[in-house]
Amino acid sequence: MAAVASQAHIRLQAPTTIAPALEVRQLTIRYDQRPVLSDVSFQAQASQLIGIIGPNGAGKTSLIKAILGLIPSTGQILVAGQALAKRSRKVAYVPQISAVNWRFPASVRDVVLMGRYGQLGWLRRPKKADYELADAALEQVNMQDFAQRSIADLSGGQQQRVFLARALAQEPDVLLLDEPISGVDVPTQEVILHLLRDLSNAGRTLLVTTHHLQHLEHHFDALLCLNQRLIAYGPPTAIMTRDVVEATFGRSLVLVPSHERIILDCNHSNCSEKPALTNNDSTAKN
Amino acid sequence: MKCTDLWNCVVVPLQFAPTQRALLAAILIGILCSVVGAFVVLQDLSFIGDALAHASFPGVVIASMLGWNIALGGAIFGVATALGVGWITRRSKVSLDTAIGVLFAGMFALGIFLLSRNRGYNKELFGLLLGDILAVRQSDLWTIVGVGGLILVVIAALYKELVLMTFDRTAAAAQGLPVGFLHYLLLSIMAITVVVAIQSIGIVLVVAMLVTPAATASLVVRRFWSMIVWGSLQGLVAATIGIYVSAYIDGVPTGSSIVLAHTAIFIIVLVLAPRKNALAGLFQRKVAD
Repeated sequence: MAAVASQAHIRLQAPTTIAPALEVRQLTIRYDQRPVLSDVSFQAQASQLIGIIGPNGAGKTSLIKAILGLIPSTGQILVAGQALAKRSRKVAYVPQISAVNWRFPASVRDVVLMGRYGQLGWLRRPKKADYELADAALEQVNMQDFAQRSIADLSGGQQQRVFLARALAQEPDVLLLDEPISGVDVPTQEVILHLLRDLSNAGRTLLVTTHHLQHLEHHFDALLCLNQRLIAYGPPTAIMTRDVVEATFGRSLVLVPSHERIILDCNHSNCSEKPALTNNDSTAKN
Repeated sequence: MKCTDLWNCVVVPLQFAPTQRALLAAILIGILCSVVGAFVVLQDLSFIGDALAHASFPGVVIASMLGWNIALGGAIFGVATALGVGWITRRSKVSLDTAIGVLFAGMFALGIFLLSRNRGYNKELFGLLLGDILAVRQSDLWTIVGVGGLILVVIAALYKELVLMTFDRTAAAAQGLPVGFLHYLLLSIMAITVVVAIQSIGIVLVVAMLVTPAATASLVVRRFWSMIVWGSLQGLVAATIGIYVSAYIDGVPTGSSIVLAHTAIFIIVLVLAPRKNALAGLFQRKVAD
């Protein structure tokens, strides 16, 4: 009896060591033999809101797509300690709104319901429970009043929230968002960032690519600085040193400590990344 | 053909078995093409549809020379070309448009080359270029019903997957859908639809059967399923108008009268569309980019 009990005890203990919500081990992505991203390893915990920053071509979107299994990569991706299955509801994706076919005739609710399609399986139609999840997701992003609207009529920020709702309808633990605050005005950026914070407070892990470098320490728990490899990973105030910024963005950016905030500035006219310098540079659509 | 009053005018052409078959075939093809066309238009595959029609030409010629089923010969070449286009774009840096251009012109040239060796078949093959729906036999009608029905069943069964892939391919892949398979499936469905329609509408005009009803619907509707319903109704109406026009005006090929009916409906809706429509939005968006 004693032996059985101790075995049971061991079995009980194993799962109680909490695995990170998302763990990436030695991830390498190549395009035509050319490495896009080399040997990236990091862990993300539940309730963390993580910003992925880096210049154009740094591999931000590639990292997200590799985690989703959309592009081939080597290395390991573990979600809650488990290797990611192909059709997994645990990881949801919010694409750049510019990457979507907005001519498609659909209502907001139709689009959110699409978040359920992957789990429904072949030949199954959405059921009442799926509609309820879709409606609940719309409420979470405060878009319930738009359920019957046509998606073509929405503003950029509303489109972004609908896509967030579609991802939430999937009931994921990890959310991967590609440039969610690009192409929307500053008040809308604030709304979306608050929404992301609410979602992380509710226990979800969020990875967010962004090229808006303002108030990073205010919005994110941790930053992943990428430039074809992992330059630094940690809390913004701890890692955003001159060396890290230079290694990530090159010398076109300088770090200006000011009023306990980190401001990244671009001091070259040929600075291609266009980091957010002012509050009004972000209204241009991609 | 002559008739006395309106009812008589409607009934007279239907006294002839070939016209009955033609009307039925045109309606079935019109509905099938419109349903498939909704996916074609929203995925910007119109050019591929046209290319497939032309690419099926050598298959049609060979089948005709050997006395095989013409639709089958066309389907083999159409599907092979569709898969070839997908294969080229996956294996090389050649863009989709370019790969289509290469294969589509090459296949059509092969068809003309083969055709030129067999002048005796010219009349039948000329019919294939422009369509001859009054030549539809009972067995052709069964082919249309069988193949068309199968395609509609496949679309109904995979409706949500096809819709998600059409709307947002990356998200479909992220949800674990086999987007590569669905893409090839849709291309194959399009190829088969085109080939089934070729005998009635003709290689040159068949793309309009796919594109025009869906394009007209996109001016008005706001939901995908209503696009399919609108397209099917328009397919039915245009087929009926087209058959009657070619029944009463001597020598008008049915393919041209059906396509003209579609085009007329499109223009009328375009002019009367009450609000800023989806298509206008598309052009504005493109300009803004």
